[in-house]
Amino acid sequence: MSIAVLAQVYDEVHRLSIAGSSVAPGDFRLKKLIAPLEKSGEKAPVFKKVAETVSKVVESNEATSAEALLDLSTLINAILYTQGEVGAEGDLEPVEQIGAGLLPKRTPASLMKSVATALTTTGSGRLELLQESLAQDPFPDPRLLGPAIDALDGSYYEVGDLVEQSILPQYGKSIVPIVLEKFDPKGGAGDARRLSLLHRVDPEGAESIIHKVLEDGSSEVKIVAISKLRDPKSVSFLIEQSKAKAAKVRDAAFSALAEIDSEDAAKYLIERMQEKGHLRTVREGLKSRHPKAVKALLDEVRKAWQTLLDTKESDKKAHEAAHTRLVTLLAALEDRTDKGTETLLLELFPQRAAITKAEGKNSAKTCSDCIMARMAECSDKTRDRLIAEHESYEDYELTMAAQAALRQGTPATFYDTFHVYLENAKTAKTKKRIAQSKAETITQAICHEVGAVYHYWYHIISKEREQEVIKQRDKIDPRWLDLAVKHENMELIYALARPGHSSAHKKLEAELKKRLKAKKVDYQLMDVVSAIVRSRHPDTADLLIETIRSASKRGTSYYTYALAHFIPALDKSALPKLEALLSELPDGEADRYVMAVAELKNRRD
Amino acid sequence: MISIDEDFIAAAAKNGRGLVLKNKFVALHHSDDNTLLFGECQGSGKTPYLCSADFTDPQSVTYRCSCPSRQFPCKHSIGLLYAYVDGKSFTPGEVPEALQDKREKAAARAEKKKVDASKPRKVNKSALAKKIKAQLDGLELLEKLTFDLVRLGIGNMNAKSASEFEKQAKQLGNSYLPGAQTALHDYTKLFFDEDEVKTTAAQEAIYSEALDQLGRLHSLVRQGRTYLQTRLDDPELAPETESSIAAWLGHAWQLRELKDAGLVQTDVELVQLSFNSYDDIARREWVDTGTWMNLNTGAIQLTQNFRPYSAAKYIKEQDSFFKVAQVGELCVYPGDVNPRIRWEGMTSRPLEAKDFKKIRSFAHDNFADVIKQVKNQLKAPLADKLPLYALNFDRIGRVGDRLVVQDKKGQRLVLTEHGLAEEPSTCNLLPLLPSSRLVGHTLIARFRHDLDTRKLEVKPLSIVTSDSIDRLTY
Repeated sequence: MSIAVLAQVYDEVHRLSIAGSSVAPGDFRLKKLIAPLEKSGEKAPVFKKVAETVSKVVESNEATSAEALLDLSTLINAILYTQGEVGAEGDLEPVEQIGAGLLPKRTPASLMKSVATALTTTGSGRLELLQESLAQDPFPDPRLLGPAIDALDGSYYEVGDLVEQSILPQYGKSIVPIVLEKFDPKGGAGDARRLSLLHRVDPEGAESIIHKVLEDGSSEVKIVAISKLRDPKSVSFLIEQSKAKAAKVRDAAFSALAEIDSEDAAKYLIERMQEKGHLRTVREGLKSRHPKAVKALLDEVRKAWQTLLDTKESDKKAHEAAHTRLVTLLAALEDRTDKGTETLLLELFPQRAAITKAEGKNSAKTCSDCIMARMAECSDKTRDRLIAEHESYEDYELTMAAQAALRQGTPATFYDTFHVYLENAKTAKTKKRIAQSKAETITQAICHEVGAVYHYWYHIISKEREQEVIKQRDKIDPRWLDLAVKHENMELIYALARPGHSSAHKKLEAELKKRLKAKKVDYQLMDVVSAIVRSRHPDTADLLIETIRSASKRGTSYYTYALAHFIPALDKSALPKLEALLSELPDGEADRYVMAVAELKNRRD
Repeated sequence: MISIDEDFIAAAAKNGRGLVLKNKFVALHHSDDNTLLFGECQGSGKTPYLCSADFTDPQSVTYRCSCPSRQFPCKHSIGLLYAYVDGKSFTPGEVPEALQDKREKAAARAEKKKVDASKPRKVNKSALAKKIKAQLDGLELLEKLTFDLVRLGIGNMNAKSASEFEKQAKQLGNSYLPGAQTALHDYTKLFFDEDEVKTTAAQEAIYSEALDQLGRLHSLVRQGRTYLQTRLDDPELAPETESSIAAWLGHAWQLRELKDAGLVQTDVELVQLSFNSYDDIARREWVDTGTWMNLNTGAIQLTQNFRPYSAAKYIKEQDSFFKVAQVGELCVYPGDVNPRIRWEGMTSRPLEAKDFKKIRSFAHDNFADVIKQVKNQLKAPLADKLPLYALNFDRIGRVGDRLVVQDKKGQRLVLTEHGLAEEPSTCNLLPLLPSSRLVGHTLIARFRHDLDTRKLEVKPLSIVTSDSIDRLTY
């Protein structure tokens, strides 16, 4: 069938329908098609029918034109529907696969829809929805890739950052070409995230893009590009950028210069750190690990130290400038473990009193504390020195020494060195308050190390956190628990109570009963219960049940959630007692524990 | 005012479970024939509640309880099920008289329903005639509106005139022609965003679509009038089942009517091939659409769940389904190649290798045959213009910048992103899939004839392999 003439009829019908049927009667363009249609109609009757319908339109009047035109359009559409072209001529090439190949997951459509909506729309609650959705593992799914890439341009930066840092990296290097499709070096925050993502999933591949961006990128994209530069050839460019007006550009440039292994970069950083002033603008550059830059930094610290010692407090401006410079330089020693830094710290350590004096009347021992904090990080030698003088320290300094000792020595040496503070608190005849304060400092250092202190109910429900607490607890010398029991240091007992330690169990049980009898229930009740569960007290189930019963009577529902979370970890033999408890509690109270008991029941051991 | 949500349901389940854990069930029994679970549950009153779960019809379990709760099933009935699943001891027991009475009454009702179903329906002839006359008047109005639209010209339509026609179209609803009203709405909604700046191609596409819609309205008036006149002449005549004209006019098929018309298949197994849920802003409703393959017949059928904004909280949202649905009685609506289906009760089982094999066996190997079928279908003005088919393909590849699916004989179909406007893009996902997925599997595709380019193309929805259904939409 020759459809050319039919296509012409369709075009005319299309035109007349747009203009309105009142212009159809007598339409000469349509009229011209009647003859060829009739001629074709001699071979195929359908053309004849079309010719007749066209004639009706042409011969219609204002009253009948609409119906006639509709008849014609219906007929012509029906015919053209049967004439649809299919296929494509040419060689069939394989579809080039992007990456290793991703398969759609069996995620419910409702979740897919809400995640895709959260990624591509605006409105509140999207960040929370995305964070919560991660638990159901909907990524990486090819269907969510497009929406996730679009989310990089979102106006709510936290969603954009979450997508760039946590969601899209799950797709791996394979997404590079797709990310590049929409990447505009002159774009805004979305493109800055795209560049950061490219560098995250394919650092080597992103190198050339970074260089291109540096030439003609927008400031937002450039900042990301600058911070990712690691090629020594970029040093002169970075030096130029480090003088930029925008603080973010400067910081990015100094950060990159500090990371690049280059003589020129080190030379420049040395020049800048030797400049007068507070050095705050250079602070990212001070982090350089280049040996020459480190040497210069250490020299500057020494000089700044001396300058502060030599500057009179009465010359306020000069004194403040000298102090700020020294504080900035000392901060740059953070996490350094090299020999030079070690030597410097050991050199400065004995001069703490002098520098504290030089800091002035209103000093808060800033420089001294900074030196001690750096010593706790630096090396065994600095830590040994820090620990060795523990007897002379005030509380905060003692904390740093205790932390250094926990990191450095064996559990036994830590005990041998510091247990005396707990003894002193009980035996001191004079300055008892100071002795108690130091005992408290050591207790806190241990509790902090173990991480056992109850703060919020959600700490209790985190199984990973609980495992970590047990691991840390078992690293502490067992004598601490004996000492804690001896001196009734309950905080330490909460942190260190372990399975099989009957005297600690007795203390915990007594403490629990005391607290259950007390008029007021305070948050430490949860510390006691946590310790009982964690140390596997032989009567854990009974004690927990007693606590739940008491909490129910006293209406302390605030703790219910945390108490319920202890139940699934109990021994299954506790089930009959728990079921009896549930039937005895008022319905409303029992309902709070029902799911926890069900979880214990369904637990597969 | 009823107001429930998922939390509400979760709470009911939790309370039910709690009753078991709290040992509130004082007696647990089952009937001798194992079709009834019943028990006594201690409540707040003196006398325990008698609750039961009746499995006489396993696809439609009946829950009963003597408690005053209006929640259904109540927590006691749910608790009874939990007790059973938890392995509590259920002893054989004599079914209490009150319960037995209810069971007997229910059995009698079911029997009566069966008998009634086999009885010819009584038709209130005068009411039916009145309704049909109103519908015929409605069609008069629709015809007048359609002609007015044609006289006005598509090019002169804008959001304002569309809105005015919409107001007039409301009268169609009063004439028992909601389907016709929707068809008119499909035309006017093309112009609601008229103020948006569009490319010439997009504008042309709208004009072509509008012209097609006008033709559809015209055919609806004609076919509707003939159909209604026939029914007016013979009130005993059942609604038309050979075509979808009844649904086009807005006939809301009841399951009983479908059963009466013999549109029921028994013991059917269905596999969902794709699922899409979208917000139809113009019609102010959400639509959940599931595409299923009937494993008994190989037909591709659709479930549609309409949730108008105003009633959305009372209608459960449907979701994707990854198992085989086993349906006792499947009602199939009159319609085209992909008819709508509904069922009342179902069980499920996991997908097995034989199911994937079956899907492949029902899919079309020869594209040329399918193309012929599709073209034949599309020419009917009231036909579904976007039919779905399962196609066994040799390869999916690229010809120039076009993606193409090819059968073993070398017949090709070009892939397109155009289909339902609300559906997510899928062609862009093909390069992301492992290339093995693009060779020798089954493509679930939606056909579409582009009125402007006059090309028949397909939108890929899923790829079925020997052990998976890789869904490209959601």
